[in-house]
Amino acid sequence: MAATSVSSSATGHESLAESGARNYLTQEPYDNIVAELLVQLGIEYTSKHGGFKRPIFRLIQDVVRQLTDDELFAFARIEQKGRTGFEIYVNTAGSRDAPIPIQWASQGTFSVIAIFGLIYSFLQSLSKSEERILETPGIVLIDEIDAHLHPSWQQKLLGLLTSRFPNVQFIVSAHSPAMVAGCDRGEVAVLRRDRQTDRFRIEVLQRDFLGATAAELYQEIFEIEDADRLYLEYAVKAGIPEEARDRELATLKSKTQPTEANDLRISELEREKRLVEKAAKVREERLDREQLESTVKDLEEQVGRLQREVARLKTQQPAPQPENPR
Amino acid sequence: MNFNDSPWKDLIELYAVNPVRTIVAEPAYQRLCAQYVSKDGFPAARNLVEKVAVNVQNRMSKALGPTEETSAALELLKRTRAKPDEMEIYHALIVKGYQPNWPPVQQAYFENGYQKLSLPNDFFFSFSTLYEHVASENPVNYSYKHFILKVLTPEDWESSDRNKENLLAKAVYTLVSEKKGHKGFYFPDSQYDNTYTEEKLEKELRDSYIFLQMLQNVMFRPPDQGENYCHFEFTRAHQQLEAEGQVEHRMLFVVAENEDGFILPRDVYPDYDHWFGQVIKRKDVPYIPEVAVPIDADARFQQIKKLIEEKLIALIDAAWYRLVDNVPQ
Repeated sequence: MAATSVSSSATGHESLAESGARNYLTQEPYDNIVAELLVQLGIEYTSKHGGFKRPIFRLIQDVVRQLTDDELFAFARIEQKGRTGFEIYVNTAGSRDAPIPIQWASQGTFSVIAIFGLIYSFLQSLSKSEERILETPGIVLIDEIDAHLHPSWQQKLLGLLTSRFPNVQFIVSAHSPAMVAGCDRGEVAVLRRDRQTDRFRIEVLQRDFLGATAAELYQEIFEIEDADRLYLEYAVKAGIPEEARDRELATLKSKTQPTEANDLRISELEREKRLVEKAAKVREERLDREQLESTVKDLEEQVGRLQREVARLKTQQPAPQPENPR
Repeated sequence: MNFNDSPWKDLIELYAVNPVRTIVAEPAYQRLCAQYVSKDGFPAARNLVEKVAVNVQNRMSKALGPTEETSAALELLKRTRAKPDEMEIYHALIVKGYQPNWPPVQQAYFENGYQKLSLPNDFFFSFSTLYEHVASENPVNYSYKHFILKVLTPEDWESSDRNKENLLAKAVYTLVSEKKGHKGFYFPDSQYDNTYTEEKLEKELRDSYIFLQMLQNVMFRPPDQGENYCHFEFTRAHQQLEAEGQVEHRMLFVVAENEDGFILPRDVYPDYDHWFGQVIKRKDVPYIPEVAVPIDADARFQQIKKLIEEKLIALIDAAWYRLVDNVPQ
C-alpha cells in the first residue's frame, strides 16, 4: 500500500508556486507537486487559526461534494508525522465512520483535490488580500483535465472552475465530449491534422454546444463514427464463407473423447460463429437505418429544390393587377 | 486511403457495381474479405465505403437519365463538403459506377463540379482595414459598435487592437460563416512583404467558390497608403470569374455605409471606376446601416442579420445549388 504520510521535498522555504514553476521547468513528475500541496494543507491546518474552516479546506470540501454527490466527504483530521510530515484523513461515503488517508480516496477525487487545491495555492501567492484569493486574476493551463474523472464529473467540472475562480482564464485540453457539452461559441478549438501539409492546425469552432448530444459531439469534434471494433472486425468476417468453420466445428463435436484442446477450440469457434451471426444481423439493421436516413436526406433536398423552384417562379410572376372599382 | 492500391481500389470497384444488400454473396467480395480481414484499417474502410455506397445507391436509384444522375451525384458530393475523405469515396464510387454511362457533356460537367466542390473555402471575404485620419481608432468599429457587440463578445471588443482591426468585418464574417457552416477565408491584414501577401491572396482566391467583398467609401479613395489590396482582390477575382462566366452569381458585395452615405461616382479614384461600376450596376447590393448608439440596437441587429441571411448567405447557397441543378441536357 502506498505511503500515506507526506513531507516536503521543496528546497528551503519555497512557496508552492515557486516549487511548481521549478517542477515544470525541470520536468519533474507531477506527483511531487501534489505531495507539496498536501504538505501545504498540513501547514495551513496546524499553523493557522480556523482549522478545517479555512477557505482552502472549505473550497475543496465543497467542490468534491458537488462533483461526486458525496455529501459525507469532509476533512476528518490531520496528524503531524515527524518534523515535516503529515497524514491527512478524510471521511467519504465509502469509508463509513472510519476516516481514511486522503490518498486512499478515488483517483478522480484526488485529481479534483489537486486541481482546485493547486489553483487556490497559486492564486494565494499572487493575491494581496487573504479574503480575495478566489477573485485573483490569472491564466491556468490544464492538460488532459478529464483524466480519471467520471463523465458526470467532467460535465460539472468547467462550471465549478469558472464559478469558483471567476477571474481566471482556463485553457484546458481534453478528450471527452462531456467537457465540450455546454461550451459557448468560440470556447472550443480542435487540433486537427491538415491533410495537405500533414501539420496540426487549431480550428476554433464558431458554434455553441448548448444541448448538443454525445453522438453529435463524437462525430463533429472527435470524428468518431458509431461502429465499434468488434462490429468492424466481424462484419468483415461475415463476408467470408462459413463452411470451413462449420465443418471443423462438426468434426470436433463428433469426437467421442473430449480433450482440453478440443474443448478450447470448440469454444473459440462457437464464439466466432456467434459474433459473425450477430454482426450479420447488426449489419442488416444498420443498412436499414442508413437507407432510411439517406431517404430522409433525399426528401429534404427535394423539398429544398421545390422551394427554390417556387421562389424562382414567384419572381417571374407579374405583380397582381388591382381590381377595377365598381 | 489510396484508391489506386489494393485493397482500397478493390473495395471501391466492388461497391461501385454491386448492390450493398447482396454484395456478401459475391465471390470476389468474399475473397477480398478473407484476404484482408487482418489488415490494419481494412474493417473500418470497408464499413465506411459500405455506408457511402448505401447513400449513393439510394440516391442514384431515384434519378432518371444522365442529367438527373449527374445532378444527384453532385448533390451527394455537396453534402459531404465538410468531410473531404468521405467525399473522395463518394467521388470514386460515382466515377466507377455511374459516370462511364453518361454522355461526355455530363461527364465533363461532373468533373468540373467535383473540382469546385473540393475547394477548401465556400467564400473569400475581402474587406479593408484602411481608414482616414489614422491617428485614432478605425472609425468603422465605433460606427457599428452595438452591432459588433451583438455578434462578438465584449472580450473580443476589449482585447482587439481597434486601430488595426476591422471588427465589423469580423462580425459580418462570423454571421455569414456560422449560420450554415460556410467556410470562409479572410486575410486580417498584410503581415508580410507584398510578394507573399499577393501570392497568398491569389491562392486563397483560387481556393474559394464565392468572392464576397465588404465595401466602404475609404476603399475607393486614392491609394495613398500603398497597395489597395481590396482592389487587387477584386481584380483577380473578377478575372477568374469572368473567364468562367460566373461574375453575376459568384461575386457578391455588401456595403458598410448607410444607404444614402455611399461614395458618389465623381469621388471615386479613376482607376477604380470599373470596380465601382460593377458594384453600382447591381440592384440588390445590401447596405448595412450604422449602429453607433445602443438605442434600437436590438431591432437594428435583427434587421442586419436578416439582410445578411437573405442577401449574402442565401446567395452563397444559391450559387452551390446552381452548380447542382444546372446540369446541361
